[in-house]
Amino acid sequence: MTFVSKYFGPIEVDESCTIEFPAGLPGFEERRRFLPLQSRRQGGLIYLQSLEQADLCFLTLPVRGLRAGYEIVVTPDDRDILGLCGEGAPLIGRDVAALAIVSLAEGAPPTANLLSPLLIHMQTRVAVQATRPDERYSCREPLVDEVQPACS
Amino acid sequence: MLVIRRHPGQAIQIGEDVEVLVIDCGNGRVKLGIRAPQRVVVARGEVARTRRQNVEAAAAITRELSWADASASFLPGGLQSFEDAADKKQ
Repeated sequence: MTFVSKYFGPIEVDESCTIEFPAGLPGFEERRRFLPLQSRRQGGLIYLQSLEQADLCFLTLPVRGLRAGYEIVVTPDDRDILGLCGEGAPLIGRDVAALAIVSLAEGAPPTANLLSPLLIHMQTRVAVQATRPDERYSCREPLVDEVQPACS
Repeated sequence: MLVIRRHPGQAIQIGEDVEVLVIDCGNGRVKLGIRAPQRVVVARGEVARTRRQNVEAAAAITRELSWADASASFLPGGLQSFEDAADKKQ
């Protein structure tokens, strides 16, 4: 299938590369299928291009690149959507991949939503934007962790 | 802000067609049931913040067309590759 993205032009979509959000994303509940594209120029950046809306694309970064010790907390509902079994919290890199949506604001530094990471099941590629039930992270976290000094 | 005390089993009516029922409380938590028509978005407060954030993030991408990146391509090693890359950065 060829999809024409507003930002990337025609993309030959490999079906095995797509990810599926059965519940959509908050604000975009009808958008279910996305394609992750990695930037070769901007290290670490991952674009999530909607395969249902040519001009819908999110800029994301791996959560662990932003906060090394980030641990996932999921609600039972989100666990069901992901189809995870077991009691413990899903592990990033083993059970799920975790991406944070980056917001670019005019005249302000970019921020990442670490309150609601995108969790993608490593095997099934089913995904959910899992809002944490705790308030440990906000939806506008600076990209650099302010707690740790930037240079030492 | 209107503050109302309710017991489990009691409800609050908002407008014509939204009903909030207190199902249970205890251990510092309260369990609510919400009946509302489909057009009314019901979400936890933090999900509502994420909704606004998503809409803003998507709008910013549309605005910042210069961000469009012709070098972008499929993840070579699938999902594992960017998790591994995040590990290396640490």
